[in-house]
Amino acid sequence: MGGLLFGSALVLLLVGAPIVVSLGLSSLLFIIQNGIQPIVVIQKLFAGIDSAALLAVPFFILAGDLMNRGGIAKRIVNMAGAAVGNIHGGMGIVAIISCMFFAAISGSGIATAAAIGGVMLPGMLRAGYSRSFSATIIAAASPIGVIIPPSIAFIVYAVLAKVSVSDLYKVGFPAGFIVGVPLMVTTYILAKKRGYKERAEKIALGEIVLEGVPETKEENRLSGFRYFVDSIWAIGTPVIIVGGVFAGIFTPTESAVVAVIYSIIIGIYVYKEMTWSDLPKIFLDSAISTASIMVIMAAAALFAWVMVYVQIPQRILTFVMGITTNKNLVLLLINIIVLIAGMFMESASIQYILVPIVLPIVVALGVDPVHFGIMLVTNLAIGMMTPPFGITLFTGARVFDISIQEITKESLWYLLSLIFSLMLITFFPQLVMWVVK
Amino acid sequence: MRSLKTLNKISHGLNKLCGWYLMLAFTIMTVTYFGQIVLRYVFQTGFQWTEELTRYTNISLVMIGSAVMAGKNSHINVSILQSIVSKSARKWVIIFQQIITAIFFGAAMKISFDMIKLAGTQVSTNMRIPMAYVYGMFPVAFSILVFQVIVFILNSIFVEKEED
Repeated sequence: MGGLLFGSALVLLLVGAPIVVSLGLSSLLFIIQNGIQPIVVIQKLFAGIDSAALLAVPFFILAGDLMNRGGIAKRIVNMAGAAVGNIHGGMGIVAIISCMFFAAISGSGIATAAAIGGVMLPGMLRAGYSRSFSATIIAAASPIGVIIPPSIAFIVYAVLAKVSVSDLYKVGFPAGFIVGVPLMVTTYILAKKRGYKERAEKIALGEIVLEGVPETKEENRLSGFRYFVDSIWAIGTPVIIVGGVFAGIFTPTESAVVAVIYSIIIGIYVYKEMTWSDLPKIFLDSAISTASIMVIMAAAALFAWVMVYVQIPQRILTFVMGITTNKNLVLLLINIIVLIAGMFMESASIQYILVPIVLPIVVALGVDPVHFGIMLVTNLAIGMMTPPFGITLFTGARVFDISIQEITKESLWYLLSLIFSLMLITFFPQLVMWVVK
Repeated sequence: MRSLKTLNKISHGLNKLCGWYLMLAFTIMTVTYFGQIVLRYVFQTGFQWTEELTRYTNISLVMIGSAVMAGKNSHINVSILQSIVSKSARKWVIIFQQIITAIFFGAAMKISFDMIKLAGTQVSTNMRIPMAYVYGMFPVAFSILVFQVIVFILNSIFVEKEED
């Protein structure tokens, strides 16, 4: 029964049909073949994204774009730079810390990659890094955008698994550190081994000339109290967005809308890096980004409905329980499956299809749905930087103007570091779950 | 060739129109949703319909946005096949992908007309607007989408473009 459904979806994906079409057409074929009313297609496309919680998706995407253009992202990088200073891999560590900071105001990995990558580009190249090394750091660290709250991925999981977003948000903080710190260690070791610091000195002395790298603008550096006041607006953003949700003042969706308005006001009136006339273009770009993600979510909801209709989740549950009831083995298997799926598919659609199948299994084995959520989201975050379909990999490559092949070569150590963090989160739940217990 | 030029003009015009709609829709969503928050926290009052309006507007934004993307061949896909085949085959792979896209959304367009008929006199929960209007966004968006995909296919076949 499920053979036609999964088979046709897989074939369509591999010939490169848009993911929305692969999921939609395979569902439609199945629906016709089984004499189900085709009208279900439109009903499920509609219902799949007709949710107040999912309205957080467009607003977080828009807020991310606005923060990038309005100068909030830049200030976050400056603050991280001031905190780290001149050590081996310093600039890379600044980039990772900036991604973590930005993650606390942005709900998406792409927004983080575009914002921090764009701001960090000249600095990283001047620090002696190759373009591919710089791009890889950004591609590897920006998925933290979905691990540290706010997070589109958590909101999607909360809708699908019916768990509290607030709990997911809480465990997101320790998880973000568990992912971020090994990335920094990796950067430190690689940068020291390759002698980037020495290369940076030669660049500074003019012995090596970088081509096509924009001059870092001499900005009138603020100091002391004025610097603090200037930065406070950027630091204020996570306080409003995440703090507001924890305090029960806002729902995640409301916090995203507030973030949009806040970024517009700060960008136009406080930092003055954006004007009202910039807004239409930003709104249009964000609308297209929203559509590209949410139309896939709609089709994935249709696909998931068909899957449940033919009782695929129950069958897989019975099948898996027949083989093993070892919790850790099942979690390891799921992780491997999600990692492979993450190489090819967009993360929200994986959640739509996978959560109905695997959540009953892991719950039956005694896994806390919140722990499973953070594990799944961390895994999906890794999928954002794995070739061939890694969305932050693409963004990193585009921002640094290099090919996917070059960035892929560099990504191995970072990938291992991310998988190490995933295993910690998977097999030592107390590392993250202490915040909610 | 002249008829293709006309089609391209229509396609371009539709794209502009869709672009305007997307900006307007996103603005409406932001303003109404933010307005609702202000009303609730500052004035302890609110409207039932704002959330519903935002949800429906968002769905229409997603569907119209999809139409715009389809015409530019920019929907997210797994691009392994087109990156491993030769340059000349690549063109046909993309055309094939676009034909599949047209088939799915063409079928969805047909089904969406049935959906409107089925909606009949139903009205939405909060705004009390006929659901037939709400579902109306599907045939509109899908028709534009299919048209744009067809124009894209015709352009790929008949117009020799330098590969980027």
